[in-house]
Amino acid sequence: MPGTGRHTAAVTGHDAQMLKGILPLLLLRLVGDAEDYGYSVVLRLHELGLAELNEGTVYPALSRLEARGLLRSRLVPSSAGPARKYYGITPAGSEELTRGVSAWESLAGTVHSILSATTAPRS
Amino acid sequence: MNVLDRVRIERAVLSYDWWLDLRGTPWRRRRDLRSELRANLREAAGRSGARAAVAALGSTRQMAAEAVPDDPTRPRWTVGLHSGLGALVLTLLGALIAALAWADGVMSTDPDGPASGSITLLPGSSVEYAPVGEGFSVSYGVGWLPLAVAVAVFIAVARPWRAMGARRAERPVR
Repeated sequence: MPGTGRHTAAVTGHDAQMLKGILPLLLLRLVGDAEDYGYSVVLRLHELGLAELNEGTVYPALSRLEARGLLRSRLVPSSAGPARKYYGITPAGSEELTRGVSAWESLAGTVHSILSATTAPRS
Repeated sequence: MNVLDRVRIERAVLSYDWWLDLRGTPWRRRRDLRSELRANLREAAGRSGARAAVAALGSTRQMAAEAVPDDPTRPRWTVGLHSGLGALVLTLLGALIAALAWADGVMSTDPDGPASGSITLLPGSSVEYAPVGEGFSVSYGVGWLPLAVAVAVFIAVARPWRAMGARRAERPVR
């Protein structure tokens, strides 16, 4: 439910710029799990607690990933209106996802260790 | 979905297309991006209303900037066409106001017979006044200036010479 996602995000207050940086990785992961179209991806992100990521940020990011060859797309007719553009991950996208997850975990680990430890200036 | 909602969605789609064209995005790519945005907006409108769906996009200029790289080597046909048409309408409006002012001037002299002349700032224009019974008739030819202004604005904004430059660049070197 989108409303729930918005509430969670409002409480956690994610930094929009930080989210923008990690957005390609999130999109590769979501679309890699299951082919999906723009608006549905936005709803999934909201349900996962990232309500700061609005349509105006997600749609261009999907287009850029497609232009870079990390996502592929196909049109699927919809009974609700115009055909939906479904995105799926490419082999290059899968490689990028693996590399990105590894880089993110490494960075998160380093940041976490710095934030959780008491550091002193080098003498 | 009512007409107003459709207008809201189409306005957002056209605004997005405008900025894409300004960035030199090819027509086919723009068509795909327009279709995708329209489909997403219609679905979002069905869920949260067209106003909220369009508001969630934020700036369409920003969207276009993030969706496609800027290509300064391509003409901007759509923006050029809209600008040219806008210039044509404005010039014709100016010409109409000038003609009405001319007719008012003629009528203030209470002429017995027909009068003809032209607007100084509109080369090639002609205005004719003729009393008809109890009333009068005014016929007006705007001349070539409004069309020339429209074409000049179209060329200046669309930059069609870029297409020739791009074609030359694509030609293989022998």
